[in-house]
Order: sequence, then structure tokens, then C-alpha cells
Amino acid sequence: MKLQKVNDCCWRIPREGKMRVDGIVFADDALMKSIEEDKSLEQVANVACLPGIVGHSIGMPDIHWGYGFPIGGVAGFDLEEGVISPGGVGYDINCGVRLLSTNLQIEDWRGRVPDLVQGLFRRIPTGVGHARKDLKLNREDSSKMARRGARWAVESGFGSQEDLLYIEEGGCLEGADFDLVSDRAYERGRSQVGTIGSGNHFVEVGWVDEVYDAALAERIGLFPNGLTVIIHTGSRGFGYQICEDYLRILQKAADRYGIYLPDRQLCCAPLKSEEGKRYLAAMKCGANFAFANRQLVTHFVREAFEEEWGLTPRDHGIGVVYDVCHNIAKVETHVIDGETRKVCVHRKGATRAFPAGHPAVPEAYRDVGQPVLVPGDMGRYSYVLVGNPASPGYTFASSCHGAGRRLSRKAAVKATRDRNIVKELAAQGITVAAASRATIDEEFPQAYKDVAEVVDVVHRANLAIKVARLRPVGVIKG
Amino acid sequence: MFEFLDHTADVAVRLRSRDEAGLFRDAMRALLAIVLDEERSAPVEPREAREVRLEAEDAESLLVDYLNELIFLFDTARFLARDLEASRIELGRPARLDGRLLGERFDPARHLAKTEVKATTFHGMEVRRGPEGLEAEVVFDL
Repeated sequence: MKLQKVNDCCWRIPREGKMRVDGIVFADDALMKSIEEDKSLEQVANVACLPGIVGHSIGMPDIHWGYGFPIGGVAGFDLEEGVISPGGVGYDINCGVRLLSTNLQIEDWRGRVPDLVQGLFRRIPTGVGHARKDLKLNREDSSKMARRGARWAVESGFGSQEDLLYIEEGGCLEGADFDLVSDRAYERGRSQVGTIGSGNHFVEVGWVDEVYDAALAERIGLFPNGLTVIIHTGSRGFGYQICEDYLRILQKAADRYGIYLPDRQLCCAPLKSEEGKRYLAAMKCGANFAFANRQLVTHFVREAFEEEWGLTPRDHGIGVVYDVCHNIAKVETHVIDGETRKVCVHRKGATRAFPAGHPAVPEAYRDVGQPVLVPGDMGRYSYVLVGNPASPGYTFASSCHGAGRRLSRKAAVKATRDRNIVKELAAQGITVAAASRATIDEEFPQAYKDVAEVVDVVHRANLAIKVARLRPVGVIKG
Repeated sequence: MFEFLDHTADVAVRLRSRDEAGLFRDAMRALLAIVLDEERSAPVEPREAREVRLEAEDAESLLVDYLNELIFLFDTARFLARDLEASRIELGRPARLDGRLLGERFDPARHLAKTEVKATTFHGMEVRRGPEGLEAEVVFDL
């Protein structure tokens, strides 16, 4: 496999062997050095071998090794000739990020953040096995949620219709079929709705500490020193089980349709096939679960602000800035080489970044572009960007999704053995509440790459435009 | 025995076991070491037994199915398995496992959970015979 530098933030893996298209990876020299340490470039080349791939196999600057497809990988497939692959979505279907804005200023509330963090921690189950006692769904509710996503949550009293306007796809993928979801997935998911999980998932209270484009920031409801909340979670055991079930089904399908797989984990089926259609309809159930999940968590966040800080909804003014998926496959319309085409875009550890003017961007943001949410680690910062109209035409208007790990969990635990990360973060003004001390050690800030380096490449490569930076003051984790 | 390998995004485990039953027992204990913060938990006791009967196309698929069954039992019934009494293990094609899982329900007073495991993957999965018995590497998606 060859790697050619195209410019200071873009590289090409020229087509060779069974590759059908070139690979393109966005990175500067420093990021590429770390990317080359794992097998993610080989995975970009492997994806390029799949039938019906359109344009290029793409890697974002936060790319790293994933299951089959790299994390940070984007690929579009032709609806007639192309395939759909669970490995191109990931286990956590519609893992994603939601950003909330408030009317509150950090200076007025900094001293009371610890109370709020404890309030969030009590209301929002984090970690392994924790669930809301008041939320165990029966089959009928699960079916409604799987079909209607965040709409179901709002109809059930969690949040407002206005919230739905600022969620990718309005918080509901049409065409979800609950009959195609196994009993095991239902069992795993039914008590996990409204929960965060463990690992890198979190709810973070922060504030806008730097604004790069005041006009854009204001349009999406972000003001200097304004308090914000980021929610990072997905479809929980429901989505994991859907992925697991369909990996098996699609492994057999790939054999049956004679699809050459450079790696068994790239198993896939033609989009036109029965297996492919069934996976897509089941995957949509997982995606809708995740939209509903982030909507429920939003409701609990509002409750915490109201009860811990004695505020009314009018006082806190918590609204959804945006909610993006970063593990998803969707049929979208794109202009490719001057031709308008429908393609099935897989984004695994990558987000959509539609520019101003795109019909899928909420009306209120139509002239600024879709917000792109890029969380960093719990000690440093996260970024908000918007889609760039000058984005290269072949990326399916996609952007990065986060920082990516620098250290393995084992190495992170070793590095923190004699440290107290909760105390260290408290000294920096960040309150942390977590279900497990071990998770905090595994997730300590330096276990991650500096997200600023990733975002810098995204901005310079015109994938998205930097709008604001958020700093954490309080975090709950698994 | 099992040992954790360095893996940036997920967790990889190398298993080296004397025989079939040992391989499945070691795999179970590796999973337990990820799910439970063993340093801060009381040992899991064999207070409850659950039947397990699995059939898969080959040894690798059987090991993946078995571990995914353990993940499922923990996720839905909070059952932590710590031992396996196998009445039959065949690693041919198809591969089969019949037996009893011994363990107990997660007890928040005595146990501290650590990391949620999404699934067992097929990444680099190969069950092979080595000089001292059976060997395998398993990557869990976290």
C-alpha cells in the first residue's frame, strides 16, 4: 500500500490490487505519524475494495483502528451496485453528540456546579448496569420508540416539539421495522433507555470560552461565557445486539452473493438484497433508540437545572443547539462529479457536516450550515463547527467526530496508578462524578489526543468551519 | 491463563489454556476482569447455576457466541459467571458447548462494576493448538 501526500492536510492511498477506488485521508504530518502506528490506513484500503463504492474511501483526521471499517471512516455506496455493512456503522448504532445551550453565564454559577453535577449524577444512570427505576419499557413502548425515535420521547412528555427541529433527521429515521429486531436486543435495551453507559460516554457541563466567528456562534445560540451541556451516548445494549445479530447474518450473505472481503469483519450485503434491506431497517430502530435516549437525557438535564439550582425553564432557557449521529448509514443525495446521485453513506466515527443552503439543515440554520459537534477529553475542550460550503465535493459533506485515544486503557491505568484524577481535575475547576474510579483513570485527559489538532485539520481542509470552543466545568461518566 | 494486550481503542486478551474447558473458563475470567473492578470488589461466588447449550459453525464462532451469551446474561439478568462446568465441548464443525455456568447476581454492596462490554468481535479470532494446549486471542468492543 502506497501513501502519497496531496497537500499539508490530505493524503492519497492510490488504487491498487482489489481496490476499486483511491483512499483519501485528511491529516497533517503529525497526525499521520500517529495514524500510521495502527492498521487504520490498511482498513481505508480494505473498504475501497467493497462493491459499488462511490468516489473514494475516506478517513477523517481522528481516524483509528476499528472493527472492519476504521473509526473515522466514511464511504458512500451506489444503491444499485453497492453494499451495506454493519461494520461501517459500528456496534453503537447512532452513537452521537447533542449540544444544549442555556441563558446562563459561567461566572454566576461556577460555585454551584458541584451541586448540579451531583444532581445530574443522581438522575442520569451512568456506568455498567445502572438504570432508571421508572423507565423499563414493555414491547409496545419499545416498538414505538424504535419507530419514532425522539418523537416518541417528546410525545411521552420528555421535552418539546421545538427540540425535534434541531436533531439530525428530526430525531427519527423513517422505515424502521421493529419486527426485524431480535428478542435479545429488546431484552438488552428495555431497561437501558435514558442511560449513558460507560467508556467514553458522558454528560458534560461547560461554557463557551472562545468564539472564532461571533456571527455564526450567535446564530446557533452560543455566546461568550454561556453555559452549555454536551451529551454523548448512543443506542446502548439495544444497538449493540442489533449489530451483533446482523454481523452473523451478513457474514453468510457476503458468501452467498460472492462478495470478496479482504477482512471478515467487512461483511456486508447488497443494498438491493433482502439481507441488506433488513439490516438497514433494523439499524434504523437502533438509531431511533439513540435519538430517544439523548432526548430523555436532555429532559433529566433540564430537571437537574430546575431542581438543583431552583430555576424555571424560562430562567435556564435550555435549548437543543444540535444533535448529530457519528455511527450511522443513511441514504442521502449528493452531487458527485457534477451528477446528482442517491448514495448510502456510512459514517463510522464521523459526522455529517451539511453546509448552508442544504435542505436537510434546520430552517433556523439554513443560511449558516449544520452545527458539527466535536467533543474532546474531559479536561481540555470541545469544539463546535458548522458545515463548509467549500468542502471538497467527494467527502459526502462529512467531518470528524472526536479526539481519538492516544493510550490504550491498560497504558492509561498504568499512567494514573499513583495519581488521583478526580482531585487533579477539581484543582483545574472541573467537578467529576463517575460510577467507577477505574473509568476515570482509563479516560483521563492525556489518554486522548489533543482534539485541537484534529479540528485544526478539519478547518484547514475546509471540511467544516470552526465556530466556538467549549471548556468543561463538570462531568458525569460511567 | 489470560493476559491483556495493548490495544488502543478496545481490549485484547490472549488466552493460553491446557484444554477446551480451560479455554472457555479463562475467556470467562478475562471478561469478568473487564466488567468488574476486581481490586475493589469481593470475589464472585458460585451461588447460582445457569444452563448453557451452544452450537456454532466452528470453534471461533462458538467462543464468540459463548462470550456474547455471558455479556447478555450480565446485561439482562445481572448474572456474573465465574466458573464453567462443561459436560461437552467439541471444537469441530459444528462446534458445541453444553454445561453449567456458575456465579451470582451482581450485588452492589459487594461488587463494583467497571466497564461495559458491547460485544466480542471476530477480530483476529483464531483458536489454535499450541505446545501447551489451546491458544486464542479475543478482542472485545468496549
